Amino acid sequence: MAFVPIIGTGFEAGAIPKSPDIVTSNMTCGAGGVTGAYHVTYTGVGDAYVTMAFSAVDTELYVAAWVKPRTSATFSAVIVATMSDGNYLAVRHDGNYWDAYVNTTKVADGTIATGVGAYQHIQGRFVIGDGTSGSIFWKCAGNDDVGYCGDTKPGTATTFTSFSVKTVNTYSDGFDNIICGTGGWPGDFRFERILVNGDSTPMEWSCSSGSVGYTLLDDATPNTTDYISSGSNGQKAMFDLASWSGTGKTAKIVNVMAYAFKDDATGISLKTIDYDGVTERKSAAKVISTSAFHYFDSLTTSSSGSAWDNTIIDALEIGVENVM
Amino acid sequence: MPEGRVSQLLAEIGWTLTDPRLKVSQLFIEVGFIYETIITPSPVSTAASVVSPTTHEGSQFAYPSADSSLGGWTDENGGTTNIYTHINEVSANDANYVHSSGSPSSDIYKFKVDNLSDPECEGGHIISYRYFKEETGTVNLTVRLMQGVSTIATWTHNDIGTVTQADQELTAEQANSITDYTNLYIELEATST
Repeated sequence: MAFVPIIGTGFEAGAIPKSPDIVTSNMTCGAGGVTGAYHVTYTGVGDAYVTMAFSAVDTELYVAAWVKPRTSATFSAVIVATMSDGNYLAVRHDGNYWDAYVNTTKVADGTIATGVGAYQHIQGRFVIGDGTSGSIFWKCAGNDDVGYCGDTKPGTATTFTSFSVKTVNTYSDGFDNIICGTGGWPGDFRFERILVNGDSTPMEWSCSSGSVGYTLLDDATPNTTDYISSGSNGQKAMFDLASWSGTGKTAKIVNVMAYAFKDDATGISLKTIDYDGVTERKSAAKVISTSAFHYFDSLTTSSSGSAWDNTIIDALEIGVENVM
Repeated sequence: MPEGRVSQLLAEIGWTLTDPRLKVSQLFIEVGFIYETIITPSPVSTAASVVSPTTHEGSQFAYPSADSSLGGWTDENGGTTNIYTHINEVSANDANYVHSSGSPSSDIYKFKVDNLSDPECEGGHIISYRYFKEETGTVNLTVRLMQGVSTIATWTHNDIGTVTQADQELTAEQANSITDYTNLYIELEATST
């Protein structure tokens, strides 16, 4: 069975997206990484992590990431799959090898020396199970590493509800292209950003200058000095996207990102919209702050329910709707 | 004494009536995709209308270790001795392979793989191989994991083409049906249509 993603990001917003499903501490986005313009790295203080939560999935979870451990310290980088009861399975980089853990107990040593100082690709498969039915399998650069079979069910939980990438202090230089899902190994999973490149219909929002909306939204680095705005409930604005070069790539997930803010304390929400040429879909309303954030909606199928492919992505339109 | 009287005092504040406004200053999508050319599992080899399997479970690996029956299969040079050595490399080499007879009809090559210890685990049993065809025409490939003469699992690839990587994971039921990890074989059956 092929990999089915649940949630992930390449941090191409240049900031950690704001979502009820994303919790972060002592992490910040900066230029760099494996692909695209940005990756996430530590702020240099204490425990640092990005956790992505999701609806519970039974028993088995696959994860993948690009990781750049910095020092030979134990726990220089940690990938964690957390269960619904708070117990967790993890793989920790000890400065050279990735070792498997059930909570804080090491259950298997890594076999592939991966070193530090350079981005490396890792994949994991975590299975919750009693006795010998549990397992933690690990791949480094596509090669099998840890293969642990044993008890991975320290509590009663049989579902996973989040995964995290973590480091401590200055032990790791960054993470990029993090993803989790089910059904099979993710492989070399990556993210690329596609900006809007044309106004579509309807375009009911006002422009801060001129009359062309997309030119106010296509900044590589967001700013709040040029924007589109809306003061009425239900107003929509739709946009075309630049073409995506899908050669040698199999599209699996689309994250819609809107960098949004509001004027004052009045309660205002935003819905993001995606339209595949057949069906329009709106996100849940996101409560907007007076400070600007990247609001994030993760879509594992097109609005018509089809698996993503290059043709659907090339035809995709996205937009926003005001909810007051 | 005259009184001071004020009959009105006011301040006039000028303002513009505005609606509270929602603003968006950047909008894009982030496409997540599997990049198909960089990460290649290494415990594999090659083949022509063919294959080169490696069975591994957990951190154990089993590579081809002996020919059992050749059928019309040979190595890439037409050799018929120890052709398993052409598909047992740790890192894949597509120039080094075994291939079936031309226009094959149920042409079967069977080889043994290294002995393994029972992992006492039903997960992570993966059979990895690469296959392709050398000439035009339609060739179907069937791959079987065998314990002796009993079939544990079968995978069929119809109308094979350019080099393709396959990583087949056994189901729990299939893995549990293995009772002797020192008696595992792979069969490759090529048929043209």
